[in-house]
Amino acid sequence: MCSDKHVDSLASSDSFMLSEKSIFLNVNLRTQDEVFDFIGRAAQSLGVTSNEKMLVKELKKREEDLSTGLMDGFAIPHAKCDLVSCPTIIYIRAKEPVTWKMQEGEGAQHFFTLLVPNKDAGKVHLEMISKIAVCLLEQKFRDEISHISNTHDMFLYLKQSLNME
Amino acid sequence: MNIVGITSCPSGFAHTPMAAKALEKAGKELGVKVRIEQQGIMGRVNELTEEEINAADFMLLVSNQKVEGMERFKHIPIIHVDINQCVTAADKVLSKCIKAFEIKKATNA
Repeated sequence: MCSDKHVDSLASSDSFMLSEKSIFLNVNLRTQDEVFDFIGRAAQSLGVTSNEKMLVKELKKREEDLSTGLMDGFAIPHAKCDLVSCPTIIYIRAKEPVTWKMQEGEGAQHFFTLLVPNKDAGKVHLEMISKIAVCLLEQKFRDEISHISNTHDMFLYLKQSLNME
Repeated sequence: MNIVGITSCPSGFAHTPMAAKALEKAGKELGVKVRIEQQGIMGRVNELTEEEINAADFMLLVSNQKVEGMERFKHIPIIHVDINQCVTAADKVLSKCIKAFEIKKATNA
């Protein structure tokens, strides 16, 4: 379901990005801008975007439209645009909570970045993106995510939550 | 009590399904029937049926943008609620709406 072929080239529209390479733990991020810049760099290095600066602009615009901070330090920065080549899940955990407009509580430390292309990306892949968002409604899921300490286990847990083969 | 609603957010794939699921779950916990139609990137998901709309006491408009097919609800009260609040506090939002509806109904009687 996920493929390392994205690393060297721009991912194709029928692929889906979720791998250990799209999971980042213990990242030193102090501001919202730093979080978005990091997402841009990660998306570029994963081959999901070819223009990280524009993607960062798009993410910031989305954030202004509708804040992505939820509760328990979880936020879901996301964007649907031409700058994204395939449906992508990037998980980033900051070392410390970052100032972020939350619905409940203060600060965000867990960033479930969801990126979706504008062009047809296939129903199954889009459903997976929505599924991970809906998983975040569950306290149990958020607690599990908070306690996982390595990228391999995180990848397995997310894959399992998405029921990916 | 039967409640219907529509969720729709700018990107159409995160807040839209989250708010819908959260409201339906809150409805179950409160013992009221809640059916939410999503209008997002996959078009209309869980589209409301004519029966469901006819049986509804009121409609929740969970969106800050244009929503399709609002003419379907012209026979019932429409309550506009915040999509982000529905994601994280659906039970509170729903309780408030039910209370408001019941008070209005009582004062109109």
